[in-house]
Amino acid sequence: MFHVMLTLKKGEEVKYLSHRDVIRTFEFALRRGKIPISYSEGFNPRPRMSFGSAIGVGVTSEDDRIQLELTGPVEPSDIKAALNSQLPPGIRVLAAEIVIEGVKSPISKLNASEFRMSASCNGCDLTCVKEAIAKLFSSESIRVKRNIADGGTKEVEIRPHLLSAEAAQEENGDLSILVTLGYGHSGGAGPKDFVQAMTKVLPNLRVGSVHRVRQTARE
Amino acid sequence: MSTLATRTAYKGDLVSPAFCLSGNQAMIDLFDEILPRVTKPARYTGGEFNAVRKEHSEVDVTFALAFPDTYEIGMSNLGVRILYHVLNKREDTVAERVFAPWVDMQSEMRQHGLPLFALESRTPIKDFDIIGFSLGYELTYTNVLDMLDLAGIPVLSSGRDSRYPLVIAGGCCAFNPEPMADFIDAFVIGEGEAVIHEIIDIFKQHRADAKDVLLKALAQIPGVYVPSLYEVSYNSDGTVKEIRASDSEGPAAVTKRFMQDLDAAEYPDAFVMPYVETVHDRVSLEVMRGCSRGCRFCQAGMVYRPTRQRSQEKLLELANNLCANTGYDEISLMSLSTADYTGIEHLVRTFTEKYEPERIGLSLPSIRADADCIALASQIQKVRKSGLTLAPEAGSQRMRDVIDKNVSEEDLLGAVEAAFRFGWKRVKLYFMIGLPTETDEDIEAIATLAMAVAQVGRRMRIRPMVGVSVSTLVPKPHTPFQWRAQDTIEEIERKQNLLKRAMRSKDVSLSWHDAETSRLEAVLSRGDRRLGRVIFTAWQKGCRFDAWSEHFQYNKWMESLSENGLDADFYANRRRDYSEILPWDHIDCGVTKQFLIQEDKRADTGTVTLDCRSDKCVGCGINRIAACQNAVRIGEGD
Repeated sequence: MFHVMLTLKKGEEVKYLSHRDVIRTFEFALRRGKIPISYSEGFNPRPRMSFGSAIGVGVTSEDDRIQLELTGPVEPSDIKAALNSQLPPGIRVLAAEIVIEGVKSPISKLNASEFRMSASCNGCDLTCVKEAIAKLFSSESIRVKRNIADGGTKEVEIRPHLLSAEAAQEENGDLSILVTLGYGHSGGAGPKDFVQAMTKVLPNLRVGSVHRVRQTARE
Repeated sequence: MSTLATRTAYKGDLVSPAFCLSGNQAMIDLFDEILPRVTKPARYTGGEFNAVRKEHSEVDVTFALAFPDTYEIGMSNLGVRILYHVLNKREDTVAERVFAPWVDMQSEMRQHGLPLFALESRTPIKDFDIIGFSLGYELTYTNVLDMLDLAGIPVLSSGRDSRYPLVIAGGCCAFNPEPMADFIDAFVIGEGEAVIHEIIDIFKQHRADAKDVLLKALAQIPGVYVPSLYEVSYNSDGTVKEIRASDSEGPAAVTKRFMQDLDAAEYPDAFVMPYVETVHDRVSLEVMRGCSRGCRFCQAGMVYRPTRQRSQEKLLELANNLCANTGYDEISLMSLSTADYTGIEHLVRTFTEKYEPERIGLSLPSIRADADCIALASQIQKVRKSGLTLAPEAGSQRMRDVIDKNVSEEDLLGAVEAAFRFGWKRVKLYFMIGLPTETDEDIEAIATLAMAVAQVGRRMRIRPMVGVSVSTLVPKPHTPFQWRAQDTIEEIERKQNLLKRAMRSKDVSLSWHDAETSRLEAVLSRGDRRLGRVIFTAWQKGCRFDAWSEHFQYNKWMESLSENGLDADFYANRRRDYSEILPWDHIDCGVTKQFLIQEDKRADTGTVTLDCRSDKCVGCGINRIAACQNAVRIGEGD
């Protein structure tokens, strides 16, 4: 088996695509690019590929991962070039690397994402934001509301998934927050959860763009 | 805020200049504010693979292809796909797409003053030279008004001078253009690709002229109908007295345009790849246009004559390009009756052999109910997965003879048996009620036939799932039934209940079309020019997305009719005389009125007319304007 791990950029142009839309778009690109992907057996064969964690609609990313199972060896750089000629504006393969055989699927090891958020806060400054983060991280329990399918909401505990957060001021004076959020089988937290928790502490905080900088494996 | 209030406040206002520049920061910020709140935001972002981008400053004509329903439906429309390709192939023209924003998006757009924009460049629709609407279904008419209004464009044709885009429309609804005559500057009658180049050329010549000069020039193009050049007068009983070209500026009758040779007709070599899943999310390959079976209720079968085929070589060439350029894994062999393609067995075999190794499946959207067709379809794996759809249309043989649907019970049961043998379990059957001369026995025969279908499966020791879908006849313009009355709502519902009681099998599930929807379809499809006021009133009352049951407001439509002094019964439930001037009599679809009368009379006696491709010429009249291979036998027989 030949496995290739791709790192994808999801830019401004495509940030409103759902995870499902991105998968569809990627599958079409695979077929147009004649990438020799393996297919599953059975009645309705599907291309064998696995995605890392999905990011929410409206979030850009420079570290989405896809692992492909190929029918034979292909130069990773060729795959990258072929796909980039077939992907719509905004989606780009940034890197392609061979996954060494016998290694447990690297994509399944990833369990945290680092996000950069642009922020503004009416009537407060960097210090306020830093204090709010400190206060948030000193709490033992942070519960946020999430929308669920039937139109209702449910409350979830996200404290264990808040790994780190740091506020900074850019040269132009804008505020930004770099936050690392965990995810995995036991649940996780997304940027929306974090923003909701932060605005409870600091009601004037407004978060603009959200961008995933990288995915990591926390210990 | 109510929809009506927002709409009225918005009407006539010019769009706030802050948002007029395409893709400027204000618009991008507005997008970021609005899009996270709406369902399926990827409907509105554009930027799909194969979408065509051209600088507007580098072309002469900007054309907005407008589809008055959601993105998912509009993106599946073959006519839009063809015109997008044909227009963008011209160096002097850019075509961009725009669909009806869903209600959540509309309300955000109105609230924030974001005008309707085209997907490719986000240019406001108001800044385009031409807007071309695709009219395929009467219940999208209010969306046309809504889209114009969202664009900041006066909805009435008379309210738009040359500073506004030229608003044109085509599609099968244009064969009775009258209900939309107040809103549309010019209609294309027939096949768009046959006439669109002439429209662009005339537009370029007259773009600087006053609007009436441009319209008169457009009216000189065969197949273009400019309603403002015609006057309609009415008799005291409400029927049409006269349709007259004022000042002889328009031709007395507008004859449809069509492509004589499909192999020579332009066809896309790529489709814009939708981000969100659409209704027809596959390679649509049009194998044939027109149908000569002559079912008496079917408008497409009359107005898209003559029957024309694409050659197998051409189809293979198109399929190769489309598959390579889209990445789709399914090809749909499209037409009104694909099984009637001469050489269909060979075509299917060739395609299956070629595309199966590439994991590209085939699908046939329409399968005739006979065992040969089933055997053919069974070669196609994709079809078997999805369940089989057959359209006997009527339950009794007598009724099928009345509508000239040449399928016998033997054919159908043979087809179903073959289907079960080939491994299908789910069969869907389409029927119609409200057909001419229909009795309760004919209704009960639907149940009997459906249960017989289930019984075939039972006998073969499988547990069949038979879905029966029942619609109500909507008599359509340019069909033999155009003079017929639709059943009243009470009668439709009585027949539906009769059928419900008669259907006693747990293998059969029954579904039907809403009677009120069918009634409105009947009013609008055979409407005259006075219905423009009704459409306008209904739209002002908040009607839009009428084709979507959750938004359909029947009562508001009935109010709109009565407020304008009109009556739904007059349009839906009235049997017309053959001598009556019909509102679409000045539109010539190629088939003659004499032929339609003859066919309607034959319906009364249950006399079948055979397909001219397998029998003699039936004298439909299309050979007056088309080279028709089947007409050569004229005079030989009889």
